[in-house]
Amino acid sequence: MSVLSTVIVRVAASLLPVRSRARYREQWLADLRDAPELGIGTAEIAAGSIAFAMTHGRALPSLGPARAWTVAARARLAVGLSLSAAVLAISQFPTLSAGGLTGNTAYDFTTFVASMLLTALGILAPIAALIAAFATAGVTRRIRLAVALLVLASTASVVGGAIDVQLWWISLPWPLTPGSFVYPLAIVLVAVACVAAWREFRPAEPTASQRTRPQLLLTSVVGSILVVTAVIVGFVHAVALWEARTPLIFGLPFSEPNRANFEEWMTLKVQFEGLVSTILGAWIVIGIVVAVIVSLSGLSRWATTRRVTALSLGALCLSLLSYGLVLVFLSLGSSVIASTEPVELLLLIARWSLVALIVIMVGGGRRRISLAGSEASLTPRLHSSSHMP
Amino acid sequence: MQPLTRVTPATVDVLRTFVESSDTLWGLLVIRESGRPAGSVYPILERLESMGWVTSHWEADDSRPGPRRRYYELTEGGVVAAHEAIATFAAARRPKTAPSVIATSAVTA
Repeated sequence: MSVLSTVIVRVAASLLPVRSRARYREQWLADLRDAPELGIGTAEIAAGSIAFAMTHGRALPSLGPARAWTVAARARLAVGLSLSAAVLAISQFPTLSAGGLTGNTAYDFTTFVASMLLTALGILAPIAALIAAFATAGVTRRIRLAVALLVLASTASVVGGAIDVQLWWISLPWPLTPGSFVYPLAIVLVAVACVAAWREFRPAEPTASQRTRPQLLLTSVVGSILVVTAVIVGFVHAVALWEARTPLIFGLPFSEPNRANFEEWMTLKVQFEGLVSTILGAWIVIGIVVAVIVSLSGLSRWATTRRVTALSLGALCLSLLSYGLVLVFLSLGSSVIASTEPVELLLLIARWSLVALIVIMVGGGRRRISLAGSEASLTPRLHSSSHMP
Repeated sequence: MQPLTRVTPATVDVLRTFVESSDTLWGLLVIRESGRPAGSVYPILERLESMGWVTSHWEADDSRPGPRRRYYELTEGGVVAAHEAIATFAAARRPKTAPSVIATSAVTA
């Protein structure tokens, strides 16, 4: 019986509800002991126990309305916290060259506090989400799986980013850095988790009173204008920064070292001109597509003012964050441009807004959720309404 | 006993292992006999037990030291339901070309 497999099985058992913990711990330990006899690897049993713990439904015999409401609220909170942590962790990628999540250039107290709060959230939110999802009886397997994937995505991103930042002195080529593997993986995990969670958080179709057409259209149009404005201003600023690189050399005496610098810059500029144009072009196209989606969202039958507002603000935050990503490519490995004060402040604001938006919309909103062991879909409203069974 | 809401190929393999085995099974043996990974078998066993298709009990053999095995067996209703589930699954998987082959044979004859 391998020690590692035993530890994993014990950890998996400890994740189960109290009433079934001892049973599965003993059962799996017996399986571990007998596995070699039947030609089965102990790692197989360990992996199976983890898979079981992650997907184990903790259905209660009956869930009263108050209990169901609590379970639904905790499930929402768990998804909201873990999703915000994952998005936050992934969003550090644009600022890796400037020190990652906290940044090397904590130039004033406000930014320092904001960075520290983000870091604390990035660490504490996944822990809180895991506790809410796995220690609450009645939370469905799908929600639990979504939370586990989101926590994995945020942890992998933070660890990958930290390794990238610590290995800056090795100068690994970009495709070989841990971040180049971890971040695409994290994005895939978040996408899978969102699909899983979405099937549980089916939004209710709005009533006629919630759909006031002029207000919806106004909200969606204002939202799309904000997104377009952010993309255009970002584009102009990015181009200005890129063009400003060469003239910086001109103000200096034209000595031999500076001539060499000038030639080096020009070589880099020519070499990367095509790539930069492609990135900026792609960013503009994606930004316009997002703006069109926001503007059309007001016409959807699922639209409410609250949802369109959230979509608009989310799109705006993502535009600002992707702007940071564009600047990383423009900096060509130098942190001088990516870490300018307004840019860092903008990224912090975008991150905070996105985190708040996710927690409010997923964690605090009224959502229908189907509970294990209960066929009924309950909303917090049911708890106090006359429709309560 | 409650009906299964979802019968996957892995569930059928586990049920077939129970139906074809004359001995009492425990989790590890189900993994080996069904050829399915532990990550599939453990949740399936738990689902079958919660639905009333199988029951489980600890081994009574005191001669074996250490943790006890958990034995599983089909309930009375579970035996009938398992046969039905396997047959239904097999019928759904049967190639649908058979009728046309029969028809062709009849015409030829």
